[in-house]
Amino acid sequence: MKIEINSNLCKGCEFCIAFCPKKVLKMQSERGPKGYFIPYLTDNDGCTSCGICATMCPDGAIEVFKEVETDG
Amino acid sequence: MAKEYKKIYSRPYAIMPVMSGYCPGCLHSLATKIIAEAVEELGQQENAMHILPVGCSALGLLYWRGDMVGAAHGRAPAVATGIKRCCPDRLVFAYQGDGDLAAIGLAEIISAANRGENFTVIFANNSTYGMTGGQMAPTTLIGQKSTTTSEGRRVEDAGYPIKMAEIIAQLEAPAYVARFALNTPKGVNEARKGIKKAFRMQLEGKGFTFIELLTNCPTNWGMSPLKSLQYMTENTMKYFVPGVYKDVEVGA
Ligand SMILES: Cc1ncc(C[n+]2csc(CCOP(=O)(O)OP(=O)(O)O)c2C)c(N)n1
Ligand code: SF4
Ligand code: SF4
Ligand code: SF4
Ligand SMILES: [Mg+2]
Repeated sequence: MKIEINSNLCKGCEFCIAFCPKKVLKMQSERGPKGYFIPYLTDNDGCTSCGICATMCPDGAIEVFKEVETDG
Repeated sequence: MAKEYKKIYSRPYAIMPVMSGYCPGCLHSLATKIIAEAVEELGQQENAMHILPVGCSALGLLYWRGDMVGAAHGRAPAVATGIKRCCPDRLVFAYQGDGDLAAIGLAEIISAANRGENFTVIFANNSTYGMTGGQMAPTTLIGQKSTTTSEGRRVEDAGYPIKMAEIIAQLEAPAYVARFALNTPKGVNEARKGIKKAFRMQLEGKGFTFIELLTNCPTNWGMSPLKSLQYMTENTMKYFVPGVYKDVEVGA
């Protein structure tokens, strides 16, 4: 996946969801390990790895990955 | 052609991978993260000396990875002065809230800025005394409700919100004074750049640098985190206008 959200760090503030230009983040319906609702990526192909969600995440809970082509 | 994922962003080294003590959506948390990023981008993890205030603004102590000193309420600029004068090669910065800096610590900040001490103050202005439950701060907006201004701040009783960046910029000595708002990605990126510039100028011995960061307090403002960001755009930023107020490197 192009982004990973650490459910031990996320506090469910929704900033990432609101600022994602592609609108590919959504809240899960179940609470995470710390009692907060945690977002998830709804559409991996729709995500551009722009990192805006990670920029706005106060808690540094988001890691961003880019798809790269490898030989072999 | 095979595909794989390459990591392009993860949280900075200077904040430990534990949950911060801040409330959900508190911009103190975002401020701490971008300060850590600026420190990392300059390769200063081992050299940074973080001076903590009193207030929620001091909660960084729970997860900041690096040297820290806790100052008495409002006295961070005095502590920073002592440390920087003894250890001039360290990257010294104080992180202070608005109650800490603009109320009880007003003499310390003005004096340190006026002496042109060669360190950086990062001032988190959330228009409230967050930690003690949301009393009026010198920076509370006109009409803004707090536990001590239940009908909203009135000029007749409490005067006007104090514009620290403008005041510091009026002094002769400071080298760089700027205000940024952390409620949009653009504002966050500009703030990180501004903090990095202030740190670089300090390392080059250019003198006192001051960064005001407009932040929020969703808990005491009584708003959801997202609503608090909107409140900042509609209210805070109209009075506390972001921008660079002094820069000795421009036109130098
Ligand atoms: C000498 C002294 N006076 C008062 C207090 C109580 N006190 C603790 S935090 C605080 C206000 C902090 O407000 P601010 O600097 O805006 O920080 P925030 O919590 O909003 O980040 C006060 C008055 C104290 N700890 N020490
Ligand atoms: S990286 Fe960009 S597109 Fe992908 S989830 Fe984050 S904000 Fe949305
Ligand atoms: S911005 Fe960060 S803390 Fe807030 S909901 Fe998204 S991942 Fe969680
Ligand atoms: S009380 Fe306000 S300033 Fe303190 S951590 Fe919570 S939201 Fe942040
Ligand atoms: Mg405050």
